Amino acid sequence: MTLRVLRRCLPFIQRWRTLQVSQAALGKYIILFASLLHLAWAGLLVASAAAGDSTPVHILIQVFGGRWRTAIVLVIVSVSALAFLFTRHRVSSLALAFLLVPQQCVLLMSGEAGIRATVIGHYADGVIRAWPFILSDQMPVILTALLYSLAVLEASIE
Amino acid sequence: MSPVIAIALVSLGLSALTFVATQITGRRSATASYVLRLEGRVKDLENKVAGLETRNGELVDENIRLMKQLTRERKEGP
Repeated sequence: MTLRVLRRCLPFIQRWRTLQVSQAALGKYIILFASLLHLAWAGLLVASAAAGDSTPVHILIQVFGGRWRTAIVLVIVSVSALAFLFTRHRVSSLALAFLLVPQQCVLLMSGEAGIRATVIGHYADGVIRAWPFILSDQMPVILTALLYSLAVLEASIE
Repeated sequence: MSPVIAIALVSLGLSALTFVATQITGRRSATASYVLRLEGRVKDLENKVAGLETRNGELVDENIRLMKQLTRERKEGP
């Protein structure tokens, strides 16, 4: 039974491996998206302290100790990831890891905060909602963190 | 353990794993591309050797023809 299902899935898996929307790899768009997201969060944090109450940003403020430090960290990780995009063919795998892994760590923290909010049933600012509501709300950040991790691994393969 | 520390530790752990994975895949990839370059070089050399063998055959034929011609001229005189 399992073998039959696997045999049916195999063509789809093989097609998925060669699937591409454009000539360019899509990992760069994920990295670009994450960088723009972090720059936007940094800008919003500088503009208003209220931005720090949102679940994905609140965890970062708690970890880095204040909204200014968080904004600075967000700008640094974004700029380093953007720098990677423009120096892709000139950097070693070690430099690649140092440029991308910090942003991945920040994204994972936000994603985990989203999962925790879903589990405990309320947002970081204390608003209580049903778990499907919170999960659907936090899903973009969680999926971005997962896809970013895959993009980092993909980038390390020539 | 506070949830913040737990989340930070899990993120750091996963990032460290990714770091190690990038180093392993990066090294494998570098080795694979090096092997590909070597294979290309071997192919070039094989083509070069094949070309030289052909040229060698032509020169041997030319040599035999000239030797025959020389022998004939010695017999018959200039």
